[in-house]
Amino acid sequence: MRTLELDPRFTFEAFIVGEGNRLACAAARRVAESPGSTYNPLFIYSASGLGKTHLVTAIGQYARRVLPELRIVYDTLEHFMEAVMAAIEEGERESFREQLGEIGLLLLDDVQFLAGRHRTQEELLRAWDTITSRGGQVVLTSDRPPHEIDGLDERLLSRFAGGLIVDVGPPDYETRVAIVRRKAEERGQTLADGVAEALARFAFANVRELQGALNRILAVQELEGREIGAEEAERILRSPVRATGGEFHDFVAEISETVGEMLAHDTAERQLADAILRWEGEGYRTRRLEAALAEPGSDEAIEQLVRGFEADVARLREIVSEIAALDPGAPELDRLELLRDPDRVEEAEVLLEGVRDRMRPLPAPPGTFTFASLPLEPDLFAVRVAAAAAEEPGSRYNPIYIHGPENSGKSALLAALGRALMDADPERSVGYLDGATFARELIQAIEKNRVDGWRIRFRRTDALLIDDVDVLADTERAQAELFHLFDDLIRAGAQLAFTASCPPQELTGLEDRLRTRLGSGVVVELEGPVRTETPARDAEEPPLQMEGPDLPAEEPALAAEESALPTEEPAWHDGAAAFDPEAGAGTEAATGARGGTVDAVGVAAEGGERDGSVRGPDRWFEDREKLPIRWPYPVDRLSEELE
Amino acid sequence: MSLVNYSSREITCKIVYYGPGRSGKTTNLQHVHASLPDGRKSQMVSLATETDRTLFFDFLPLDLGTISGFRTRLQLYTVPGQVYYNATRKLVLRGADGIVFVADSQREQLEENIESLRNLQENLLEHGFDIREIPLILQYNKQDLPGVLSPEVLEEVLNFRGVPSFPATAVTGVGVFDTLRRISELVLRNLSDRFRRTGELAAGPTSSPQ
Repeated sequence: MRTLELDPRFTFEAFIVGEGNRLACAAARRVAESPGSTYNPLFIYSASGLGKTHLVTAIGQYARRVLPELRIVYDTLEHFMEAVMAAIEEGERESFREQLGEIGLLLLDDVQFLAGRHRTQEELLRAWDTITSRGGQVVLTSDRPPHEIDGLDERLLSRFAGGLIVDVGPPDYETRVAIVRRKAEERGQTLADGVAEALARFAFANVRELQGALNRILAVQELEGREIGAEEAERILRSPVRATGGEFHDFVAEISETVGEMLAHDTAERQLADAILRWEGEGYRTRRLEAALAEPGSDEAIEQLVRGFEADVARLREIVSEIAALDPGAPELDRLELLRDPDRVEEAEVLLEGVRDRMRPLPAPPGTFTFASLPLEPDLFAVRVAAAAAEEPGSRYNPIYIHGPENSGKSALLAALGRALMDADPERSVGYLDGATFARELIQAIEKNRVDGWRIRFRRTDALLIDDVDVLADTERAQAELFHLFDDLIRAGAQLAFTASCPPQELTGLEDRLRTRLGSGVVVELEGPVRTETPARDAEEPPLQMEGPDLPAEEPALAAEESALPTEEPAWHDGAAAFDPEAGAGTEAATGARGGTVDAVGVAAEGGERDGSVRGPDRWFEDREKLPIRWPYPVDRLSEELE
Repeated sequence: MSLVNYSSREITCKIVYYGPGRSGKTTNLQHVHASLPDGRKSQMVSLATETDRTLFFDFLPLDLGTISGFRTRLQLYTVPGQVYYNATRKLVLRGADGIVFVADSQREQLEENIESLRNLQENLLEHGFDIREIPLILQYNKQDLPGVLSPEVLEEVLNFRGVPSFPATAVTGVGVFDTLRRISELVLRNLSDRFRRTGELAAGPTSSPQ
């Protein structure tokens, strides 16, 4: 599809804004900044030579700069419609329609030629609908307002009226002076004092005539190589071809001064009116200002009112930005009736608070523990399960349920899992909290009527690790919420892990539907208490002992599945008790030695380490030759997978 | 009825051309209409009888474009001059911001001029306006015709209030814009004074011309 070149000289920066074109320029800028979202269509009309084409070109230039991907078509109505008609005649309506649909910004000049051309109007309507239905922006220029275009189809009229119709008025005196100076500057010429003013005093019908007059002055300067003074400039202009706009223009020029004087007195009201116009144009409710306009107070009161209003608008904008930054797809951003109403800032604040609350990241796991620094043996079955889950979160072992008595290191292991998940992917959101906090925050959310936000906050996490989940026993709503959350997160592929003091099947006060879910992945046990630190430990790491059935079988703590194992395989379990040759060796208390932020850690461990009591097999049992056929339970197979 | 609508940034003023039948009120408007550049030519609504005398009224909306950021419009009306159309005259007069009294300078029309001026005063009073408070201009039309009364004589007879006056030959356009310019200025200044005095501001939509 053909498009005219956008004249690079015609930019917003080069457009001199005066009272007569301020509105048109502001609207054009707005459209250029966000095509398709504000004034669609933008209909700019004016007598010729007042800057329509400049504005429409500036829109194109600006949009091209900020939205390089946007498909921009700039053409005259005449040519554009020729292309439409040609496509129809060649039977390519559909492919042409496709092309139309790709247009993000259509700039059409001279639409007054629609007058009386019904077929063209009909096709323009179709083209229009194709473009705008896909979010495209349409900008039109004409030398007259839509209702003065003869025989314009009502549907087109109503479409025009649905956007913004704005005229470009003739420039006032000051603007004319500014235009003359700018144009001379662009030509690299200087004007003597008073020349620009002398030019501006003439009642030219439009800017083009004004520029023509300037060209005459500049031509004389260039040809004669001297500077023209103000008086001479006037003489030149009055002589043979002084351009005037006739009686009417003279009349308008004089009336303009009167109107200017008249309005100069109403500064406070003007401020109010300007504010209304501006903020209405930006889509804000201006009720407060309109009420003041109906009953204006003192200048100070009006000024204060406008300032207050603008401060509220500024706050609303901040709120919108913050919501968008927190959650670009937040449904709250659609609450325009609220976010565009400065009288409802307080409600908007509540809205923002809700989003903040919802988007607040869940507490991260404490940085105290990593798998390397755990007060647990790395070979422990539970540790290896957690480490494997950290490598393939959400898919391999999910959920992980770690149980053990106080001091067994389960919280530390949970924290290390969380840390590993975060280290593997800093973008990953990992929530780590205890069951009591979970319940407490739910109650707070209920109190503030923000349960939806509370849920969203949890649902968008990539991993949820809940310490001491058993404290949810006997709660109602917290269990129900955790139940739903559990399913949602599992479906979403998030990694879940829980700790508790006992295996799932022994949990009391928990609904079956939740209890069975908690145990539906991998259940591991830590016997505890955690080992104390011995400085020489690492250096003296001895090989694993394989004590088999003779190991101190204090209480071979069984995980859920394990407890259900057939009794004919006792040897396997009995032999699982001790991995650590140092058992019984460490005796020193190590309170706080490992950070102490987790309950089971940093407490003096008496009687040495016993942390490897999980039923994971020792290496003796990991002989593949022996074991495969004897692994009827998933947890048993882990020993191979973890190898 | 004049309006400075700050919300929509519009100024609208209503100017009524008053005077006896056949004094040239419509001719004034026609000249203004003919002088409009193409881009601004709005439709002049003229409801005339077969003999071309104004039956109801002429209405010429005059869009002056955007002045100081305000869309400025003048609405020019004429009244039917014939005595028996007084009800229409009253209707048209309602909400007028300024009045151009177009007098017929022909000697034999002097009585009609006086009668029409009196009628204007009465009708304004009925609307609650004192003729001394509303911007008013006299135009002594048809000065090109032979044997007409001079502006000085007419001034003596008709302009006992000392309002601005202009000699004119509307049919050739002489004095038409001088008159319009002056009445527009008076109306706008009056509007401005009124606002300053009373803080009156119209925030609602532009009223319909009638």
